[in-house]
Amino acid sequence: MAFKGHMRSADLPIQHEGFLEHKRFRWANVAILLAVVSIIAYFAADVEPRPNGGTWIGYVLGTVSALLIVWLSMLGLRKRAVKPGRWSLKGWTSAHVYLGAALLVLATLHTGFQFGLNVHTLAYALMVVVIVSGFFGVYYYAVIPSRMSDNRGQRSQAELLEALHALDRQLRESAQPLDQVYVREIKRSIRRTKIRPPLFGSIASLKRRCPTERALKRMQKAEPNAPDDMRDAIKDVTAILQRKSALLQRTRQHIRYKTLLRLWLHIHVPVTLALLIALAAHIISVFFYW
Amino acid sequence: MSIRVEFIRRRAGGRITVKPTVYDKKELTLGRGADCDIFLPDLRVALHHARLTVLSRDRVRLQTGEDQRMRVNGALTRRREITVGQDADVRIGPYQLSFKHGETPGDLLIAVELVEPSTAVGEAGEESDIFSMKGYAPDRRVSAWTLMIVVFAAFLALPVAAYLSGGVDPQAEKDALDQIAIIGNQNWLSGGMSSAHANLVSDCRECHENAFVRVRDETCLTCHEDMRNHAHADMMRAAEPALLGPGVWLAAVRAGLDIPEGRCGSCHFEHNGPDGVTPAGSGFCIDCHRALDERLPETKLVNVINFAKLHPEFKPRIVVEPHPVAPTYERVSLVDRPKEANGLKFPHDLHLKDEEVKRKLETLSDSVRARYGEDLDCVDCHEIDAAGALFASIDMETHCSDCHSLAFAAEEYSTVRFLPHGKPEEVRSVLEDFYLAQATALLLGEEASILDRQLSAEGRATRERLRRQAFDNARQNTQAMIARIFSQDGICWKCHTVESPGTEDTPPRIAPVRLTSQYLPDARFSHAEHMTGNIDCVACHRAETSSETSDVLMPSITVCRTCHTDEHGKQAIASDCLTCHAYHGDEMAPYMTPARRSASLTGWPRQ
Repeated sequence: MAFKGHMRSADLPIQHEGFLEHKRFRWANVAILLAVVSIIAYFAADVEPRPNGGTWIGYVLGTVSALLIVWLSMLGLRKRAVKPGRWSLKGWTSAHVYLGAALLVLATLHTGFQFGLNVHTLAYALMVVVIVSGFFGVYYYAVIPSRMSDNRGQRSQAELLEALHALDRQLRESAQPLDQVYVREIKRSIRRTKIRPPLFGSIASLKRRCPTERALKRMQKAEPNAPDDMRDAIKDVTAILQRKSALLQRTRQHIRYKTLLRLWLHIHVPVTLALLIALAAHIISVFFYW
Repeated sequence: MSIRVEFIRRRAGGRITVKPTVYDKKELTLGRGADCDIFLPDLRVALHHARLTVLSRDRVRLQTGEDQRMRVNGALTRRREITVGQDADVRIGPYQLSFKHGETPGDLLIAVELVEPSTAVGEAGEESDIFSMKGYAPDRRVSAWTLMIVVFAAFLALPVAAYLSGGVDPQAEKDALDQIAIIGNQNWLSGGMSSAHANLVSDCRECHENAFVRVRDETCLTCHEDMRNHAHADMMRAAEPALLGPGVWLAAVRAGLDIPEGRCGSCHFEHNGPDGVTPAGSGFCIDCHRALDERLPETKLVNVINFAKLHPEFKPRIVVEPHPVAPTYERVSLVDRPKEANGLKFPHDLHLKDEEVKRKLETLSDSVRARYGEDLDCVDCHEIDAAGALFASIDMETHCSDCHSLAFAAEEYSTVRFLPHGKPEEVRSVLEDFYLAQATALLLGEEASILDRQLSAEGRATRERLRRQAFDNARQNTQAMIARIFSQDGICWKCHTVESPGTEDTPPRIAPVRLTSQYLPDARFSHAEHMTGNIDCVACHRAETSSETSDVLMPSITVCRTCHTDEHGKQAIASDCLTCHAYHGDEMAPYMTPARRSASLTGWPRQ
């Protein structure tokens, strides 16, 4: 019986199926098919005088691309409507990602590689920004969540902060016997340490001058030469600073991950809305001056 | 006397607790150190921060350690004497100290209160600040609205406003408002203008007259008013091949959208950059002309697929009857080795090779000879015209008369006289004038000194006889000269056929001459473009071996194909139909009319 039980557990889906693998890459296949058909049609269509959005294949690619853009932008509405069904949010997201990637091919063919300083290229450029930012989103969504929970352990954000504050309180206590020379560093660590680095420093994981790091280094350096009556206190303080430093690193890494998970959306979403206006202007302009 | 130190703590709800300690000393230490009298447990206070000394009942002194400071009434200081009972604001780190007289006279009361507590760790809302995007990126809603408004204003509202404001006159001076309208128009421009239309770029309405209406042929024809069609519109419709594949659907879409076929815009696409709106390549032409005879049996044109392989041999238009006013031309293919009857005798080979020509050149004066050099070359007679396409017409006086001189006066006369070329009827009077003048001069020269009345009767008779004889001689000389000139050995016969030498009453007749300046009047060919590198005239024209004037020296198509073998110009010089032919170039074709839908076609008279 034990043998049978083993078999059954092997049959169970152990792996979580993410939106990328949804239904065995159904949408990836659809997207590849769409892109390949478009490329073949583009080169097969013998258009005069040269390929561009105004030829018949250009109109076809443009219509499909415009419909895709409108549908893709509706993910924002769809995800707010929580509902089950055949069109699960996961399936929708999977289609969003793969069809969005195919759109890059379709719309590029639609341009016929004619670019200029005008509403048409503006719409294309905004679309490229949206799609590329989306690629970043997909990448970070695939990579970061597991790293993020590894980094944070079982702690919540509030617990991370509380732990830092607790260490600060311990520092205050443990620094009481110390001389002002040392206390100055401890005070800087407590008061000047900024948990949150600036945006660029955060996403590039830049090493910055952190008062806690500085305090830690000075304490480690000071310990051998410290007066006897302070040595124990310095050891205590150093230990606390080490813990604080490590915790700071994790907290900052957490901030970085969280920022990476959200920053692309701050480009993706507003530029999508601008794209919808530019797309409308593009289509209106083409038929306005037909 | 004693010192009473009271630690004051204010609790929530306004309750105050006081923790007193009494010292029987005149000196107290203050600091964070556990050994201090007044224990101030805050990291902003040094271990041994200050020392308090009672000087008298009313005065105390505060002295801080070497590296420490305190604040008295806001000023940083290390040492200060303080009068007890006056409200001095003394601060050591975050603690405020006040000095008063105690209840027992002579006692000192020091109140100590923590007035600046340490920054509380863990402020409210800290978590949402630290872990949010605040300060990292603008609010999504704000950036979305900003972007949308900018795009809407610059790329939708502005161009529409430019249209509604009535457009910008390309010729007129432009004010600031016009410049903004131009920017609006540029924002919608789908591609660069062709160079011919570049001046229209500032105003879309020059061509796109009405919003949401395709550019109409009428609009094109306002400028291109004299444009000829390629052929009769219905004939062209009949010549078009049946549509295939996407063409069928597209025609259906056009019909559904009420878009007429054969619009200017069906072939001419603007906004594709400076290359122009003329379709390149031979595709458009070949569509109809590859099997034209099948769909248009009455056509005289031969099917064409491309120049390199399937193009008929040239059919030059040659003179068959050089009538002076209305010469007769005929198109004869070079395959049929046409002979031209242009009325002239001019063997090219003799002029280019013969030793006699060289010797003749040597007899010319130096200044004239400088024009020719040692040999005659093609360019000595064939001068390219200003446009570079063709040659200036051959002119006897300019190109022939240096060697074939029509000078006739005898050497002893200082004035050289010339027979008039091209006016045979005037030759007689010119000669007559000359010989009569000669006779007159002779008579005057002999008898100038003898007066009439001095002469005898005989003398007068002799003189009369001489005079008569002189004039008779002149007349005879004229007649003899004319007979010589127009005879088969005469000067005219060298180049012309004399139909009749003429008599005293009828002028001589020379066979008319009509030289061809353009063998293919419907095709474009520029000699100037071909005169490059080491290509000389005889590379294409076999003049050196042509001994007869009737030879048509136009090169065969195979000569052209030496270089023009590739339609797209990848391996050889680009050569499509439009390299030589013009679509709208036929002067016999009807003028362009705006395209109509197929239902309104009338059918051209096939019968």
